[in-house]
Amino acid sequence: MSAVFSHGRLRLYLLKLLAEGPKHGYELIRLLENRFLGLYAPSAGTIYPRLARLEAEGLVSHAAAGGRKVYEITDGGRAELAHRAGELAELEREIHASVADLTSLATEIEQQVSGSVRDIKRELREAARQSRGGSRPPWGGRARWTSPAADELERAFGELSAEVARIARRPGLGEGDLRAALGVLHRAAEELRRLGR
Amino acid sequence: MPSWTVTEPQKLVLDEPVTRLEVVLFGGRLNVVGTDGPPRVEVGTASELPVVVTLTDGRLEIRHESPKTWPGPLKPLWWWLLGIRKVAVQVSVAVPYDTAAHLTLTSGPVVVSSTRGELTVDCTSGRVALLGVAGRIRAKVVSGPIEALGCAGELSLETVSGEITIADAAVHRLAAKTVSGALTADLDNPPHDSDLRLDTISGEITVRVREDSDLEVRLAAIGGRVSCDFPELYRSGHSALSGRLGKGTGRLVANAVSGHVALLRRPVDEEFES
Repeated sequence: MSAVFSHGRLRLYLLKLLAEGPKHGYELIRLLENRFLGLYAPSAGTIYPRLARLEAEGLVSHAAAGGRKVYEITDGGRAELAHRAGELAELEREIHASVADLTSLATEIEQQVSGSVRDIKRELREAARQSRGGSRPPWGGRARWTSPAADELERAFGELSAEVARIARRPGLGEGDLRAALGVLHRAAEELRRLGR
Repeated sequence: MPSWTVTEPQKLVLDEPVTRLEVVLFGGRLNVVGTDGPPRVEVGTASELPVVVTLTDGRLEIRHESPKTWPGPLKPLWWWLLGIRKVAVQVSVAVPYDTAAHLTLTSGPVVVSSTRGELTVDCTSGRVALLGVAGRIRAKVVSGPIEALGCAGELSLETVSGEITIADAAVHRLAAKTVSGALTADLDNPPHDSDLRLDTISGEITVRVREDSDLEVRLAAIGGRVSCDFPELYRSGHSALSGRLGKGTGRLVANAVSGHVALLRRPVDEEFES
């Protein structure tokens, strides 16, 4: 399906979509997906570099709105679009033809769904297997006691380890800060040891 | 009221708007796609039982011609004879994106893509594939898998002996149930206010959510093992995990009886957010 978009034609089609009104990248992806009945869904990695190139060439501009970049066609872009009107009409005709035969279209949809779904399933199963191997409860087995306080304890431990992981991963923390954190842990461990005696 | 009785392969292009689609067929395959073009109906291989297509006030109905069965006690025999004849029919329909669709196919695959209205699919034995469907979606299969790719909205899926796989989904409500099939869900939700419920008896649950999710989580497996990639969750009993991710505005509940449950972490695609 994506064969329709060879040789810079995706670029042309993006310009055409933007000529219909300003849009953000995600909207463009959804629109392309709709035009192709869900069969061609370009990734962000396909769209954003092309938008950036169009912008560098002065054919589109962007404004930040609500944390997202909204792209708009410039006069230069409109001129380019007018210049390549014949090419665009040909492209539209091909797009239309590619979705005209419903039955073969549906077969393609089914293949795409089962292919992607199979990949995801394999990926997640593998990740789950690794997660099962690696993640044991904090004390290596299941809790011996069941009481609200024990639950509380386990929750507190989970939060503590999450906090430690956050600190350890945070960039910009100095050696001194890490030593201080270590001190806190040592003191807590000491107290706990006293309780356990 | 335009009406067609189709006995051989035929393509119909409708010039009236369609807002609702109702299909009831015995067997074969059924494809429904949302488009911005005119509504179309394609009947491929036709069955011995003619297919009737009617369009009334925006409601497009596709069903078999109601058969004249034999009376009284002979009726089951008639249905049995029908069963051994060829009733399979291949129907493809293109409707506007926001059409509400209610699809019933007794046996055979159902493919739906790009619709945004309400969707219900009932299938006794067959495979259901959903691609880029949004809105309130309900699909039920007795024997066969359900696969949903890139769906959004409210998703309610149920199968007895098949698997359910949901990939690349941005659903804010999800209820998925299997009896013996695996349940796999890869969710890319906006990380708050989601309501996610996954249940299985003997299948395995694998669910991946975004690492910045705001979810109150409860995972339980009676005979299986529960594992997760989020250190924030704590063990709340024998093979059960619960806790809060982020602000906990949404809810994730997964229950398995004899299978494993695994909760995985999905890194956030930074480029997509920019």
